[in-house]
Formats: sequence, C-alpha cells, structure tokens
Amino acid sequence: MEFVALSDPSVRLAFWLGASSVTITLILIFRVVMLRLFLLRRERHSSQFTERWQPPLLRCIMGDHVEFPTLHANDEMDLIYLAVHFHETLRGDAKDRINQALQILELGPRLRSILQDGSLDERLAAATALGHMQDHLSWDVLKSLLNDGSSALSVIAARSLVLIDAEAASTLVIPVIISRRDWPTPKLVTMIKESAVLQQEFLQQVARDIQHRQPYLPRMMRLVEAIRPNQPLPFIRDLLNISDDAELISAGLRLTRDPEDLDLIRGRADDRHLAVQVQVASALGRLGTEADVPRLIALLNSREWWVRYRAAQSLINLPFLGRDSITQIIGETNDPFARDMLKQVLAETVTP
Amino acid sequence: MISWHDIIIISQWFFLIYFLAINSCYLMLNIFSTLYVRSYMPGKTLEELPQIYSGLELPISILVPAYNEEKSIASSIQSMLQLNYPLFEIIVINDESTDGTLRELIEKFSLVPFPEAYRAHLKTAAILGIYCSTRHPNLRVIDKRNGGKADALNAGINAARYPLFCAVDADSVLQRTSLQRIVRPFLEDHRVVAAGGTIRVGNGCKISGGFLQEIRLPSNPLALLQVVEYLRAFLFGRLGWSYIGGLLIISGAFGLFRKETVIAVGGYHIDTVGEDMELVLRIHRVLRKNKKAYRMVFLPDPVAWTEVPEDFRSLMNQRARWQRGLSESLIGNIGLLFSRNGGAPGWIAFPFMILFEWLGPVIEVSGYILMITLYWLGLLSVTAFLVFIFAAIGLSLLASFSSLLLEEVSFHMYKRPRHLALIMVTVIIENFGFRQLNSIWRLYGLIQWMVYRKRNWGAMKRKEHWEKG
Repeated sequence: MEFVALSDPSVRLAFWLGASSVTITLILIFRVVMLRLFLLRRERHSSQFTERWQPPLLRCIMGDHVEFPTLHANDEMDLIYLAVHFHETLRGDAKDRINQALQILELGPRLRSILQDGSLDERLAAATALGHMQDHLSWDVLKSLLNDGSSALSVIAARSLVLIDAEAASTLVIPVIISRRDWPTPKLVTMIKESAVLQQEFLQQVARDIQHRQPYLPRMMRLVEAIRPNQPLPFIRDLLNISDDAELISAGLRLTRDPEDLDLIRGRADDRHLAVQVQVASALGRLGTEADVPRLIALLNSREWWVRYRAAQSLINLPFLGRDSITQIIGETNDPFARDMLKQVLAETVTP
Repeated sequence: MISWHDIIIISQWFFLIYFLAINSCYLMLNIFSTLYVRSYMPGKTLEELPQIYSGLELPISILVPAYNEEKSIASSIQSMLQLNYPLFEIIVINDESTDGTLRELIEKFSLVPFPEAYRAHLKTAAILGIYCSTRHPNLRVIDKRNGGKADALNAGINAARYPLFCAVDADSVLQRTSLQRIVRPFLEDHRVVAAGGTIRVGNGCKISGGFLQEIRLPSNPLALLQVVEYLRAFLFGRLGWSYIGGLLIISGAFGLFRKETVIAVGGYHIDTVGEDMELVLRIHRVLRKNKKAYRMVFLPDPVAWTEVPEDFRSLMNQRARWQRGLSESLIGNIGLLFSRNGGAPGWIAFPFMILFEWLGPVIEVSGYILMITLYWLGLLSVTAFLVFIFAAIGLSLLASFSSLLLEEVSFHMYKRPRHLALIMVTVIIENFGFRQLNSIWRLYGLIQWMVYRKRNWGAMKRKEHWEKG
C-alpha cells in the first residue's frame, strides 16, 4: 500500500523545489567557474602588465629618460592603480616624475572621463590620481563629488581638492568636514595632517567653534587630538575656561602643553568626572611643579583605577622627585590601593 | 476521525514548509550579504595601499584565555606580538592548565612576576599571580584558579588597560592587519560596541613564525567539510545578519568589544558553555531595554585562522557544546524575544535562532526519521522518498554554492583552481551524511542541555599538524 505517491501535491511541490534549487545551483556553479576563469585571466594580465610597465616607471622615478611601451586600452586601469600606488608611497621629486610620466602618456583626459563615468572603484582611483597630479581641470567635478552619496568617494574628492589647491579647497572642505559625519575619521585626519594650509584653517575654525560653543565641538576636538598639531593651541585655554562638558575638558587637558595653563589644570583636579581627573593627573605629570605633589598624592587615592594609575605615573616621572621620595610616599600612604599602584608603576619603569 | 494517512500528509507538509521557510530565510540572508559585500568592497584596492596610522586608533587589549595549550600557545603569542597596530597589549590568562602552558610561556617570553594593582570589576576565581615579559613590555600573563573560559576572559577584562578588548582563542592565528581592520567600525561610529571578524579553518595551512604563509586546504576530510561550513556560517550567515543589525553571534575566537559596555552588562557569564553568544545576546537585551543607541557589526575581511577538530569525537563534543551554549544563551536572554524595543535582534534574529537553529535539529532529525520510517513501512513510494531527499539536498546545495559565489566575488582566499574544485566537490559530498550527522550531534547537545551535564572546556585532541615553515 502506498499512501504517498508522486501525484501527491506535497511531493510535487518538493520536486519543483528541488528542481528549481538544483537549476539555480547549476547557474551559480557556472558563475563561480566563470568568475575564477576571469580572475585567473585578470591576474595573468596584471602580472604581464607589471612586468612590462614597472621597470620603465621605476627608471622614470630614478630620473632616467624612458621610452614607455604602448599603452593599450585594457592596460589603463592597471596603470592608474600602479600610479596611485607610487603616489601614495613616494614623496618629492619621485612623485613629480610619476606625474610627468602620466602627462606624457596623456592619461589626464582619460582619468577625468573615468571620474565621471567609471565604476565606483575606478572613480576612487581616478580621483586619487587626479589629486596627486594636481589636475586643475578636474576641479569642478571633484567639487561636485564633495556631496556624493558615497562617503569613500566624497572624502577622496575632498583630499584631491586639497592636494590641487589647499587654500581654495579649505573654504569648500571645512564646512563639509563639519556637516558630513559619515566621512571615515582616519581618512579625514590623514587629509588634514597632509596639508599645513588646511590644518591651519581647520584649527582656526575650531577656535571659532569654541567661542560659539558649537554642538559638534566634541567631534572637532577628537580630530584636533588625532592631528596632534605641532604648535601652541591658545584656544585650549578658552575651552578650559568656558566649557563644562567633561569630554571637551578632557580633550583640552590632553592637549595642554603650556605651563601658563597650570592654574586651569589645577582648578579641575576636584572635577566630579573621573575621566577629567585622569587627564588632570596626566597633565600635572607633564607640566606640574613641586607644589602639585600633594595634589597628585590626593589623586592617587581615587576610587578609579585609571586616576590612580595616571597619578602614580606622573609622580614617578616628575623630574624633581627621586626614587627615595617615591619610597617615602609609599611608606606614608595609608591607602593600600594607592600603595599597590605606586609599586606597579615602579615595576613598570624597571621592566623594559 | 483523523486517519494515519492524514497524519502523514500533515507531517509531510509541516516538514516541507519548514524546509521551505528555513531556506527562504537563508536566501534572504544571502541577498543581504550580497548587498553588504557590494557596499563593502569598493575602495578595497586603495585600502590595500600602505596605510599611515591616523593617530585615532584606539588601543586594544588582546585577551587570550588558555587551558592546556602547551603545544600552540608560544607560536600564537609570537604571531600576535607582530600584529600591525600602533598600541596594543596581550594578556594571556592561564586557567590553571594541567600541562606545561605556563612553563612554556615563562620560558619563551622571559616572564617575571609583576606587582599588578589588579582591579576586580568582575568577580573571578582567585588570581595566583601576574607575570610580565622582560622582552615584550606589552605582554602580561595572568595565572589563575580554574574557572572556565568565561571566567578567564573576565579576569583578562579586569586586567585590561585599554578601552577595547579583543577576545582571541589561544590556537588562533591572526592576519597581520586583523586589528587594523576590525577596529575600523569603532573609529567610524562611536555607537559601535562590538565587532566580529571572520574565522576560517587553518588546518593544512602553512604557517611560519606564527604567521600564515600559504592558504591551503586540509587533507583531513572532516576538516575539509568544516571549511565549507565556516564559509557558509560566516560569509552569508553573519554578514547578512550584520546588514540588518541583527547580529547575535560574535565568535569567541576573534571579536572586538568596548570594555566599559561589557563591564556594564556584567562581563561574561561563567555558567554557560556558549559565553560568546550569551554575551552578545545580553548586550543586545540590556542596551535595548535601556534604549541605548548602539551597533554590533560583522566584518568579512579581518580573519583569524583556527584549528578545527579532525576526529569524530572532538567534533561531536564541539557541536553538542555549541548547541548547549545556544540553548543557554537563548533561554537566558528570552526577554529580548519580541521585546518592545527589540528591533531586528528581538523581532527577526532571535525568532530565527529559536525556530531554525535551536529547534532545527529536532525538526530535521524527525523529518529524516519520518521519511525513512514511512519508506520502510511502505507508506511512501521510492520515487516520493527520493523526491523529498532531492528537495532537501537541492536547497542545501543552493545555500552552500551561494556562499561560495560570495567568496569568489569578494575575497577568493583559496587561490588555486584545484582548491576551488575540491571545495565544490566537498559542498556536494557534505549533503550525503555529514549534515545529517551534524544535526544528530546538535540534537544530542540539546538533549544534554535538557538533562544537564557537567560543563567543561571540552578538550580537543590537539595535534601539531599546522605545517611549520
């Protein structure tokens, strides 16, 4: 007796389910195989391209006069990627020579066309190359890309604008830095660090933002910290005077380098936010005087591990406090946590 | 009155609809993964260029819980010490190993006792000692009483100095750029509290100096079958869930977490064998309950290579343990299910996990048993029996080849055409026995969970079969 046979609807459904799955699977297998064949062909082409083009480009970078091989249409993207690789790794004359090579090969018009019509990957490479080539003709297109939906493309366009003309780009780019929160911060930092002009303009913008207490200030301060400017930052004093935001104060304290700010730092030693106290302990370690030792000992008794740790580090690193003084502090401290912390930091200074 | 025939027909429809539902979900996940990859891949070529550190990279504490890892611990730590990252520390937590793990660490890394001012944010088994390396200032070892992996990780969190911690299995080999890649979401979005990386099978690969030199396929058939499983689980499972914000698992073998969030939710739970999933579920539950804005993401390109079991017993233990862990995690966080503020984790991912991952083995095994029984009793024609098997295998093949296509479109790690061919053959072969066996092991785990058996680390027979270069 057969209760369930092929004519049963459930069996029919199962059959069609299986048949359609297997059909789609066969299409997928075909696609996988084709992709692999394409990949193999692409890799072979790339290695042949590198074999033909890398030696003359390297000779060109060295300053030799070079006859370049004929550039075939299917070599263009490989050349652009190779050029971008050189652009990102070389500086000075070598980079200029790569640009000259790209001019000789008349790649500018092609790059501008890719920037408008290429795939996203190709547009990213073209935008990068045009920036390094300081191609003024692509300025308008790059400018329009600042508001592109792709954050990767818009931030690269911004960087290229800065590379082409930092002064003119600053007025365009800084408002977008403020408004586009989707821009990857590491890329932003790299862009600002790369250009002294943009960095200067950016810091002036931050100074204005502090005066106007802009709501986006915490993000701007994170960028300032990441840039680590090699110059005095007078606006930090304003920030410490004006702000009551723990994150901003902490950022300001991390950036203090001027002994004239000591009173402002000391004034924050009793801040109710432990994150601020951590930064006070660190800042006193950098700028503190003998008068700050009791303050640091007080911070050493904090309930927060990081406050104790930074206070201990600062005490041990103070140039006028010898090992005997530290041993004395350990002996006089009643708080076992503070004592343990000093011992730990002492051990850290001994252990390489 | 309902006849046997009706019961058979109803149950057949039930199993058929179940298979249809689970595979539709997989298909949706596959579509989400493809969308994710499409948005993730552009710009990768440029990102492969030499990178300058932005200065924003958050320092990371790498936590390596170790229990009887004498054979692999030194090479793992050696490779971790060479990771490309501006500031990180490694904390190995020796969970009272009974072999020479601690001795190996002391000898290989010149460890000396260190007077650490240890913070006990999270309660753990007693700390026996803390050591630091005289050669590598960023390496410390905590020696503690046995408390399990979760307890070891909690001790590591207590000792961690940096705002992010990365939980890594002692037998994992990270790619040199893994930390740089996995930290990116934290730099780009301050709401990110956890990120998971991809785990791939390292058996058979060539390693030298603690680093992966050449990607190869394992010669052991069981390990080879797991290569396909891992591809499927990570490339379209987690990628798809991450795309819709419903990621419920971040592998304990390689995941990056914001320390203060983990401490705020109470750290790892020690009374579960699936501490990694339980933690992720709890973070979802607590943060959603408190209406905190947060994100958890999965990234396909930071990769950790791990050694998988090569014998049936170890594999069975591992799968049963995973199923127990899943059970404990789901039941322990049942409050997330359809909760008012549950979002994708509570309304989509959690029900999926219950229906298809947790109860899946019961339904799958019952389905197989029913088909065989009906066939044996002569209640199902040979043709109908074969048709049902054909449908089950067809759907399974579709899911596996979809992930293989995704791999080929994106990372194509297995470069040699021979490897690809072997993987394709394995994808087909796994349907004839291995997947069914896996369901049985998972069912066994579920039964174990119900009758409760003593938990342990489920020691895996470790062989030094990673080819050393």
